[in-house]
Amino acid sequence: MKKLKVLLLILGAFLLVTLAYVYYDQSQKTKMPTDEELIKELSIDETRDGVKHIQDKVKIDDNRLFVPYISTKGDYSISLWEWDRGKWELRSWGQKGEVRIWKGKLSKPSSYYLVWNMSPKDNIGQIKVSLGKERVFYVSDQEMRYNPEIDLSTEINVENKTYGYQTISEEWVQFLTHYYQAETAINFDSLFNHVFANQFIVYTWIAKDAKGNIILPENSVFGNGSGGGESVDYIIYQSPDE
Amino acid sequence: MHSIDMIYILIFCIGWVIIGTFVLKKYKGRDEKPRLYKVMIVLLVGLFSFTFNFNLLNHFVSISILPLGVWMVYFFTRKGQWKSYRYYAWLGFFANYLFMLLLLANAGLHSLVYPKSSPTTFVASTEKPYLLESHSTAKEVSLKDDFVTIISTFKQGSHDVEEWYYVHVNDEKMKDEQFPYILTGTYSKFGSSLKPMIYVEKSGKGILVLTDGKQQYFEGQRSIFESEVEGRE
Repeated sequence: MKKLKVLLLILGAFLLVTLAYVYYDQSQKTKMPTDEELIKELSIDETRDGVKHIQDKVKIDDNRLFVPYISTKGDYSISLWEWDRGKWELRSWGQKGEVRIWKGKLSKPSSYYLVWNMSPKDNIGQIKVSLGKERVFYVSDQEMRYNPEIDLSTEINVENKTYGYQTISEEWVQFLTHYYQAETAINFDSLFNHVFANQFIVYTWIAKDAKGNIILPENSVFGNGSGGGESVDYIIYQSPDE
Repeated sequence: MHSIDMIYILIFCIGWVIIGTFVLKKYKGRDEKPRLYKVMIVLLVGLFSFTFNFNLLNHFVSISILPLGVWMVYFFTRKGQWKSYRYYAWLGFFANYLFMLLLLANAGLHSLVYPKSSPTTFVASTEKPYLLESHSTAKEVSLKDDFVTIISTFKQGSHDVEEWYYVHVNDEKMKDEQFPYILTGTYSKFGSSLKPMIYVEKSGKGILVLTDGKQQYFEGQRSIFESEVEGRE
């Protein structure tokens, strides 16, 4: 009986600590970090330019914070923060805020967001973002496969503000959901499956002015960047002459 | 509801019936009876084990190696009691192997009940069916009301992957895609839990189905599109 009592005591204590931690974590999460905290964190890495002005702090969902800012060099930069065990972690950073995809839950494409912050000097009116997949066939002893070419584009109006975010289009959600489910035969290791299935998809974007003419947004592309891992997909800029 | 895997549930029930039979047989034959709820706890704890997972012919197999649960039962029972619980703890551990075998049988049974050679396995019912234009050359077409019935008449066709590839790649001017649509908002057969990707041929007379990383092609005489698209075949 003594053993049982000790066991119950340990379990009880463990439960209590867990509850207290969860409560603390949740209460911290609702507090928005201050500009100073964000700037301090962004300045740790010395290869990055300093922060001149934080433009906005947008809670995309419970665990994601989108912070566009202007650097001391005048770049329109981007920083993506995720709540991780009690604090906001800088998940991904971009010197220039070229449009990119930010995933909440990997297996749930409806949690994927497009985020951007692009220089007003470029006068971008709209951007066209495309999801592409190459046409491929293969034949082996066991099976034959043909993968149709996929080409799904969306146009986003970016005239009003330099920065913005929005969920990926419903068509992308449909395609990606079906594709991930059908392509990954066994749920052996979902991250591995995700990486595997993802390698065949290519995202590209182009910029247009307000009238719809394709332009080269020289102040908003080819910046440095870091972080992200599987939760951020980069979108390749397709220059007009290609 | 549509992600329910009936065969899996059936197999799961069979497994527990087998284990239950073993428990009752042993339990009734004993004079000195431990409480039944304690037996259940011991059984469940016995299930707990260190497992080794691997992939056998595209099936997920998980082999139990260390009987952690059995050790826990041994450690937490009083001296005299271990003897009367031992059987149930080990039964719990061996239940892992029973389920492993049953799950292997599951794969075979599933393809018997839901044959991959039949189009109705993949397209059985609908909820807001929608044709996604997945290629720039897709034309604006709408689905016929009875498209599910039409698809059910489709037969497995010649899966000529090379032809589909080269017919459009070699011709520079004609950058058409053989399968420029994706069918969404449809369900596979009830209880199969299959979640296929269904590409639709430009003529509307064929579907290319991808599921669990494997592909099937079905074709028929009638198009599933409202107005027939002039095919270039």
